[in-house]
Parts: sequence; structure tokens; C-alpha cells
Amino acid sequence: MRRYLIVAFILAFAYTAAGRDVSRRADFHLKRHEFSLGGAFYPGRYAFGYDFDFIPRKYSYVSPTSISDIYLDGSTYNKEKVTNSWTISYTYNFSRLFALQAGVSYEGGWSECYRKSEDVMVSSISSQYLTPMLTARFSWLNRRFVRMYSSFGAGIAVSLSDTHFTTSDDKTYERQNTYMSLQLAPVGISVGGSFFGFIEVGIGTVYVGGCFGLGYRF
Amino acid sequence: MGCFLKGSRSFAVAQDDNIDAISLSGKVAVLVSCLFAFSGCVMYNDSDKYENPSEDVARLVYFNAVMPVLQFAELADFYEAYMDVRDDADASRRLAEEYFGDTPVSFYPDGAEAFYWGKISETPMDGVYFAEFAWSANSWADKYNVDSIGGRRWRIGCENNGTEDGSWKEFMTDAVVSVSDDDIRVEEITIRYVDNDDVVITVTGTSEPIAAYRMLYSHNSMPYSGIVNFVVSGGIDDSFSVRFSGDSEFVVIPVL
Repeated sequence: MRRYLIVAFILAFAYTAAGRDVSRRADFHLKRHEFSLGGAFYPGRYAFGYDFDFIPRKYSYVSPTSISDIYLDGSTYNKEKVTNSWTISYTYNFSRLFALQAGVSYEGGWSECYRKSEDVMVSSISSQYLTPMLTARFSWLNRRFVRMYSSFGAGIAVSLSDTHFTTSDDKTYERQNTYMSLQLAPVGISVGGSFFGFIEVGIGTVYVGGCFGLGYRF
Repeated sequence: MGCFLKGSRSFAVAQDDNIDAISLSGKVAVLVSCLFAFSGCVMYNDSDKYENPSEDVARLVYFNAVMPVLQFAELADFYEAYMDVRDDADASRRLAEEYFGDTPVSFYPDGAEAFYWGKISETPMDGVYFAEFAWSANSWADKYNVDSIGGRRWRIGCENNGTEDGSWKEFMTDAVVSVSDDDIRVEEITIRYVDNDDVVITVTGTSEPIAAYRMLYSHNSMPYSGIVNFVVSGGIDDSFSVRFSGDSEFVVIPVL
């Protein structure tokens, strides 16, 4: 709740600040092109659930994969690692209010199975996603070095998942899938001149929570 | 927050904006660099989780093979009582409520169905019935033979060699169950299950039979007493006993 109040306060402040001093807008110089690189701790595909389900790690009471898997599960443990979410993008500023951004995001995750007795990895499975996305950005506070904006993007996530087992049967599986990808950032702030840093708060299949990054505009 | 707002306003009015901006950009760069350094987080690790394969196997067998025996014994006992009052609609309804509470019960010319318990059907032979689940997810096997052996006692069993979906190779149950007004007792039970990796689970009863209160299924609880022995073989070597004690869980006793 407190988080929402802070966001609401920022929005209210930005609105009043934008209207209070029109002359400051003269300080703002529109630069058409931007390149940026951003990262987020909590990748969206992981947040909404990787398709790790085909790993015979969990089972239902009614239809377990096999009894051997139950004993394998008891003798092993799993770690899930993620690369976080990384986005490289180009933005074209049509006006001080509206910009379009084309970006590509990457996130990867690994589910690793370790044998408890020796603490060695016995199998690994990975999920990798590339997400080209087109994002509409609306700037509602434009100062010379500070901008605040909201954005919404849509794209397609392409899964580059490939699976390899290092168990005795040495099976290999491969599969690729595409998924609809959406990202909403209600509040974003960029600070700087030609070189700038930015922080966004948002939710979607690219990231959940916060996104941070650096960029260059000209 | 106040400092942040003041800071952002000062950017707009400062004479030397470039210096401030570069300074702040530098801080942001340092922050972002630190965040980059945290790349590759471990998001989930179950290394400390308690896992007991014997317990999982026991639970698997209980829900797939023991529970159906208890349910069908109750269903058969009900149907036998129903046969005496089947011409009286009110008495039939009261009997169904006594056995199954609010659970919907349907009556057919040659059988009856209690929604969660399953369906029991007559066969051409007296005292021999055929019981099945309303949906296939209840058990490894859908259909069981239920034979009356007198005195509210039932022999319940099934014998299957494989399934259409190939999820297991062999499943056999043979149990003798008695039903009273208060509880259900599994006097004898033998279960054999073979999965696709040829791992075999064999379950046998002991001198302490499984005993459960009536309407166990609707109460979602375990039997209140009894011990059964488990042997897992065929690539896996495990032996243990399971003791029921009326709690929502049972106790696994390893065989040393």
C-alpha cells in the first residue's frame, strides 16, 4: 500500500510540477535518438513460471513419472538460477511527449539437479528467451536532465530452450516455443544529459519490479 | 522522498546543470554497475527441504490402491442394504443420507452411484458386483470386482496388466474388508504394482489391520489404526512399514 502511495505522490508531484513553470520547458532539448541497456533482477518469464515442469522432479500422487523418479527426487535437490533480464533498445522520440522504443530482451534460467550424497550436479535443464518488443513511451515530465514517463510494450518471446541430461541414459531434448510478451511500466525516470541512467517500475514478461539501465541520446 | 523531489527540482534551476547531471549520472552508473555484478542470481534452492521417498511411495499407494478398497467396501455395504429397501423411495433416500451424507446418490435398475465414492453395478451372479470410479483419476485402476463373502464382509480386488496410456505395467489388489456401523476394517490386503522401469511395490497387511471410520473419503482423513508392510524392489531396494494413527498423516517406520 505504501508503495502505491509513493507512486501516486510522484505522479501528483510530476503533474503539478509540469504545469507550474512552463518556462522551464524551454530548457528541454529534444534529442531524437536513444540507445540504452537495462537490466532487471526479477525476470518476467521466470516470475510467471518457466516451463520447467517437464523435468521429472515433481509428481502427482496419481500419476508419478515413475517410482524411480520418487527415489531420485529424494536423493537429489534442485537449484534454479537466472541471468536476470537484460534489454538493449533503440528509442525514437517523435516529440517531447511520445516516443517509440524497439528493444530486444534476454533472460535465461537453469534448473540444476544435484545428488545430495556427493553434492554433484547430475542433470541440468535450461530455458532461454529472446523477446523483441515494441514499446510506446509517454513522457509526462520533461526537464533538461530529468524525465519521467510511462510505457507499455508488446512483443513476442522466443524460447531458445534446449535440454541436456548428463545422467546415464544421456538423453537430449530440444524444444522452442513463442509466447506473447507484454510489459507495463507505470513510472520511469531518466536522469542525465546525453548520457543518462534510468530506473523503471513495472510488471510484465520482461521483468517484474524494477528495471535499471544506462543510455545515450543524441 | 523530499530530498529526491528537491534534488530533481534543483536540476532544472541550477546554473551549472551539466556538472550536477554528470555527477548524478556517475552515481547512477555506479549503481547500475553494481546491479550488473549481481547477474545470475539463484532464485530457488530446495537443498534443505525434507524429502522422504518411502513416505511418498506410501502416500502414492494409499491414494491409488488402499483408499479405493475402503470406498468400495462402503459402497457395496450401502448397496446391499439398499437392496432391502429399494422399493421404498423415502427409505432409500434416508439410507443414502446415512451412508453418504449430502453426497448426491443416483439409483439405476442394476446399480447405484454415489458421487465421490463411485458406481457399483450388479452382475448376473448374486453377491458379485462391479465397482468403478466416476472418473479415472481416482486410482491406478478404474474398475474393481467386489464379492460379498457374507456378514458384511467383502473381497475387493483388481488385476490389470498395463494401461492404455502406458503409465504403468502391472497393478493388482486383493483385499478382504469388513464393514460395521462404525468403521471399516481391512482384514487382509495384498497390493502389487510394477511401473515402467520394472520397479515393484509390494504391500501386505499385518496382524494390525487397517481400520478407518466410515465416510473417510468425505472427511479427508486417514485410517485411525493399522500397519502395512512395504517392499520396493527391482532396481530400488527399500523396505518399510506404515502405521496409521488417525492423524491426517501416517508414520513411516524403516525396516532396519
